[in-house]
Amino acid sequence: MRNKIKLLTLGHQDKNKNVIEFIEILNNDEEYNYEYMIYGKIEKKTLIKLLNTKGKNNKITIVNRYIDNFKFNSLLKKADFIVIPNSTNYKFLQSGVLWDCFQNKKFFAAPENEINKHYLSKYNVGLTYFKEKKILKNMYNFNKKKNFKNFIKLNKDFSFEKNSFRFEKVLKYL
Amino acid sequence: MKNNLEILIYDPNFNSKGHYVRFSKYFLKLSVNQKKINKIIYFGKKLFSNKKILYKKIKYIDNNKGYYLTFFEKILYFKLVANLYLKNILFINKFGKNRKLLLLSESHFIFQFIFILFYKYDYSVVVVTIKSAYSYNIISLIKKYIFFIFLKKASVIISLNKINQKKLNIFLNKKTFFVPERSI
Repeated sequence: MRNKIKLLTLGHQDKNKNVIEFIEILNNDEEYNYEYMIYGKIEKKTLIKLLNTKGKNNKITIVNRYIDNFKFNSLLKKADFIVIPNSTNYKFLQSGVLWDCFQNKKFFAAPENEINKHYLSKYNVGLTYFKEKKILKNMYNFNKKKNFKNFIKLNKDFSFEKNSFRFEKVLKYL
Repeated sequence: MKNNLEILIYDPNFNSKGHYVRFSKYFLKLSVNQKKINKIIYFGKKLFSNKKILYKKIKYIDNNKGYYLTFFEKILYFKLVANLYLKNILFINKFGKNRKLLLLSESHFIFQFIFILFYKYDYSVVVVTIKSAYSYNIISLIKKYIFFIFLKKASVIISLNKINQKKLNIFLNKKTFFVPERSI
């Protein structure tokens, strides 16, 4: 049997963040061994739907609780992939969790939208998913060792010095 | 460009939880680091000490709370939010003369509408989401129009990612800038 893949979703969950879609994908992918934890405050209606979709799948754990920074970081460390659910809002803004992944050198799995694809095409620090795709197989095949060096590239491109230089350019027009 | 720039920083979406604090801190640190910036007046709670920063207390409201209210509760909440923003904008106005205001988010249409009407001086906006640029019904069209005017009037638009930057360039027919939302 292959090693267990540890998946994690963090933060506030509501109807805009479609974590249910990801569970449906997992429910159809019985071949692989995984453990999926959803940790964060969950809106009431979303929680009911989430529990129904989870059903008797004991590979999935749901913890409906606000998360402090210490817990956030300790959970992040243990996970293999951070799942960023398919939010309608994320077509128009980037997820903050994405930057947590960059900072903590964690690979992520997120839906295929322009913003996610932009970062992945440039840095390859994760995978995209959609309903018909068997995400777990791709996670097993993902070359973590080879792609880990891409975090160094990310570090260079988004260092404080570089961002400060970008901001300095903006100031010329203020 | 002036070498002794004085800027005002305000995040209309600020609340003391989660990423808002980190986001404000980050932009304050970027600003403090600029030689051209002489003085910063930050509207909100004290985040860290620096001789360039002067903190001015201002009330903030958690906009997310309004999201789960019923229709009638939303109307009351709408009034509360509008009133608070009006007070805040009038307060910031007092400091705006000969200074540049940097808004750390576009907030929502209530804020944008009041801001267009009451803020008298020069301002720039860090655009977090471009959702308002995509209209689906009549109400969204009104929001889109307010969003457009609000950004069109701004002297500088900063986007937090390159995809939104491209879209804003087209939507506003105006050059926008890219500054990532965090440093790694």
